[in-house]
Amino acid sequence: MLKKILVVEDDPDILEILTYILKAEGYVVVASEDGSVCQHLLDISPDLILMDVRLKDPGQNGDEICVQLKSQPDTRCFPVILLSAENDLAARSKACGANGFISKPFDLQVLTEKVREMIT
Amino acid sequence: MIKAVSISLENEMDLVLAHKRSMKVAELLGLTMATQTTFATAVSEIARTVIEHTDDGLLDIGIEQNKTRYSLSAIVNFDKDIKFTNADSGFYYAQKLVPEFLLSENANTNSIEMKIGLPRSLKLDHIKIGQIKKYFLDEQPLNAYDEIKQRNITLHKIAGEQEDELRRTKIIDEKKTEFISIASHEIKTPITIIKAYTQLAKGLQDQCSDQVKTILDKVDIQTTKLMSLVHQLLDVSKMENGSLQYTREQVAFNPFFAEMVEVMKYIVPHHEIIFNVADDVYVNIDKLRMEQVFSNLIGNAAKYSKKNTPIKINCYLENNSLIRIAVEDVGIGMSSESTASIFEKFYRAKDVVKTHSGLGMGLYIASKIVADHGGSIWVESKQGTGSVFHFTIPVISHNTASINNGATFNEHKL
Repeated sequence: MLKKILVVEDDPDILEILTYILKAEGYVVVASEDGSVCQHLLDISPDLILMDVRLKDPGQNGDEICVQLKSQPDTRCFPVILLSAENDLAARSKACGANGFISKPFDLQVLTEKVREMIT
Repeated sequence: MIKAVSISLENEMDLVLAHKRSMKVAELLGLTMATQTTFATAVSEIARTVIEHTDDGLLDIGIEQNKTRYSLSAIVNFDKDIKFTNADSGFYYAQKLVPEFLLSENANTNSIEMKIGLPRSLKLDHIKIGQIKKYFLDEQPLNAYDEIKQRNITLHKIAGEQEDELRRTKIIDEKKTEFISIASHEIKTPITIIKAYTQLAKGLQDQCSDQVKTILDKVDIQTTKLMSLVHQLLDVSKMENGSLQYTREQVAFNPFFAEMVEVMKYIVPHHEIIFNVADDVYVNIDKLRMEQVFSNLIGNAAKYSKKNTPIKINCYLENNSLIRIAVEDVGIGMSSESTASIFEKFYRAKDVVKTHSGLGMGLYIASKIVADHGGSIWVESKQGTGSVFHFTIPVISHNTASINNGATFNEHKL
């Protein structure tokens, strides 16, 4: 069965690239520029969530959403990878309970490897 | 009013100054001795009354112009809470001495104005008024007290100016730091996009010729360089506002070091890296930040030396309390002037500015990271023969499980 990835990224260009690459890798991609998509997480039921830390105002940031997902029993199981250009991404990811992180600008190869590693 | 002279009214000594200067203004205007004395007496009576109540009064003496008529005027300002009545004898007498006497109550201060009209025969004009003003500008102190008072005023003024200057500099500095932080963040997004699209294009195998691929490789490399510059800028701004944070963990040094060397071989492919390790120890470091120090020093060693020359990295255990890492190149070296300033922010040696690109941030950041880890960093260099950069990291404990691991690891890795 095809694996499904939810990508949350507020920059449309980066979202487009991520979608393109992940589709090319054979994943089903649900792309959203808005973090509120996570309210329908149980319907989407992704195998992995790839989420930007800085999301559009108003609304929560990626790490804030992650804290919420990890605090609820029915959403805790979804693995989350945070994306960010912030230098302290490692510490931030740890603090919010994310399963991994990818620094921007990302190397496409590193990205796809990381996704493969997390999804199996 | 055109002010000729001002006197702050703090204590009895100021009465002398108030009296003498009132006399002088009247004299310079050409008034008779009798009028001079009358005016000066009125002014000093009011000054005395004010000094009895406060040490915060101010007397201004000058000339007031009303169309073509001039008058000699003195205004005394004092705290608005102070109220005078005719029971204050000075207040009472002064009113009798001058033709015009006006007490006004304002929002912050009260003031008393005393005026004597000046006859046209004095032929007063702006030139003459200017001369009077100049007289007081050039005037020598009337007595020792006046001299101290004037010096005090000058010092206060200088201190105030310096304080203002300091405040302004601080604000500008904060704004600059904030700007760098915002700007570098804004720059990162487009770089991310350029890099991703470049890689995407390289991946379109059937549509991308080898020549285009070579070009895209170059775009990719330059984008990475640009990104690292932006990271450095952001680091500097974080250091300035104290928001640089470390995620430290206890790690065995030698395996970490081996990892660094492997990464560096990839980063400086045209140099031969020769290294030596000491007995393994545990250190408490932020691995990413420490990698930055290594890549900066080794990157510099490669940048300032010829291709295919060696870069030696030696580790020494010092007093079992510090691990010292020495990065040695056989490059261009530097002058003693440069070794003294090389860790300063934005410092770049004069002779490399034109030949080697850079912003002078790398070593500043590296030195800060080393210092924040409790270590120190220094350089030995000789122009034309090369440089050795040393830095230390405090040791937490010995890795007893791997005594001589250094040697075995050496054999295995090379």
